[in-house]
Amino acid sequence: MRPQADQPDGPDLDRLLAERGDQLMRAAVALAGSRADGEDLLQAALERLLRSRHRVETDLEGYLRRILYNLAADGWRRRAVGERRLRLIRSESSAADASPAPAVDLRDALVRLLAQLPPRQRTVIVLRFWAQLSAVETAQMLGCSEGAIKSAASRGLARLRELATQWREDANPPGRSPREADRQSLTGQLLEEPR
Amino acid sequence: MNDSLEDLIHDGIDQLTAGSTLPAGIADRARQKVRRRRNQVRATVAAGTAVAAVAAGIAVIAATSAGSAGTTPKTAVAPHPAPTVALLAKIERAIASKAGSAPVLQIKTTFPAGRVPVPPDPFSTVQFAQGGIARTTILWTRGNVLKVDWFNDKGHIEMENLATQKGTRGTGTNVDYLSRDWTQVPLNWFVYKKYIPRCTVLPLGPGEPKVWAPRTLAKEIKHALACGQVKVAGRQRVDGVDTIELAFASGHLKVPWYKMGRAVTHQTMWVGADSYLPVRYLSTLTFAAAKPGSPRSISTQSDFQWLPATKSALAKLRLIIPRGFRHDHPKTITVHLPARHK
Repeated sequence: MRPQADQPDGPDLDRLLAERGDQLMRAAVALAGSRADGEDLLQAALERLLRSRHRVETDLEGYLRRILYNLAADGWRRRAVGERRLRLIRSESSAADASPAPAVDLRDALVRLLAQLPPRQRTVIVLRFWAQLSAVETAQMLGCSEGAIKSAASRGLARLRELATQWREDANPPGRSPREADRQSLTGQLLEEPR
Repeated sequence: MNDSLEDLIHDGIDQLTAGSTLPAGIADRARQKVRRRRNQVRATVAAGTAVAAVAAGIAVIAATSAGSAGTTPKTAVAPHPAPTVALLAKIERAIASKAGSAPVLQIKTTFPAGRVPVPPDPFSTVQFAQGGIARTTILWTRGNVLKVDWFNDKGHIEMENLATQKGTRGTGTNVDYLSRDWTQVPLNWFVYKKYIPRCTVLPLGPGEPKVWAPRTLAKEIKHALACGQVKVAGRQRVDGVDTIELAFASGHLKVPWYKMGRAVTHQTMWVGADSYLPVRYLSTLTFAAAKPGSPRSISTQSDFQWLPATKSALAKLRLIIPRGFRHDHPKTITVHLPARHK
């Protein structure tokens, strides 16, 4: 008699996805920077979860999240960073022109600029400032020291400030409109280093 | 409105992710991809099964390779008389002579019970051996054909793999009794021109059938013996056969996928006192920094039989697809041999 087929996963995963799927998807989108990439990231995490089913003993969601975060931190997908940066800056400039609210522009821009950070810094920023994990929790999730997390967060924020400044300059060529001038002013105010 | 950078980031990501819902069918797509990937890997047979058959053996190779690259083992076995030149010559001659008669070499390998860390892809096949499913593999090899059967701890067959090789081309066939499907893919062997034996006992790493051929085994053992890291540990009866026990100097190595730090290796080989052919090989990895729930020590035992090329022995090298099994169609893959073969 042959042994019974061993399913790659039980109903637990389906139950988890039914109950917490949207939250997981949000986390994936946050880490990846877009919905399409978020979907790919989440699927990659699910695949890894299915492959490592023997190692999952408790807390399926925690395990899946850990995979998700680590995939993101490890730069699960390599891209042409230069091209993407250029595209982001350009699209950001055009998007800003069409946006009626400068502060909304800036939030949107920051999210886009976030995508330019190295994967680990980006993941740390998302976990610390969006998922509201403490440095200790983030360190546990990513399997590194608390100091490394603090350092990555600090460098990430600093880099974001730099990128935002560059974004502001790129978006404000000579002969800018009054609204752009307002935006620049607001951006400069918001992105000042805390004293 | 919040005016700190952190708050802006938070609000921005909130805005980005708002309304994101789980795409329909994402879990099914993931399952399908894993299944396809698994079948691809399984179908590589030699690349996977040879690893799985002797997972710990890979580590041995790593250790001995490191040793040959200049790493001196930190600990050594208790002093025993070194094998005489005559004994080494007898072992070499016996294996070479046996290889010349083109036997079917059978290696039955038993893995430790329980869960042990598994290596990442492309060695995921090891999971079947190391992840608590398969406990035993039986490998048969002759010429450019390699067949491996996998059994669980109750003795039920779980998987059959067959790999053939002709130059850089070959075919990999896998029958999976768990999912009741079978796969056949062309294999593109990435064959390195130069094959470098190391100070190891067996060609236990992943590789093409040729690497597993008795002739290569003879070459490997000869080289290992020539490395001078082997001692005669005494005489012992193994499965009713009077044997000479050869203990290899222990070494230190790091097996990346175990993620448990460095391991100390212990290797022992028993050769027939009359035939001078390998009878048993035992490899043990002991991890200083084993994770909770993981065994501190992983032992893999391989028993050798040199079968004359009779009809029944040659039949071991054939794979018959059971009726009713679904045919899965993964893509062609390229098998890259490890650095050892570079």
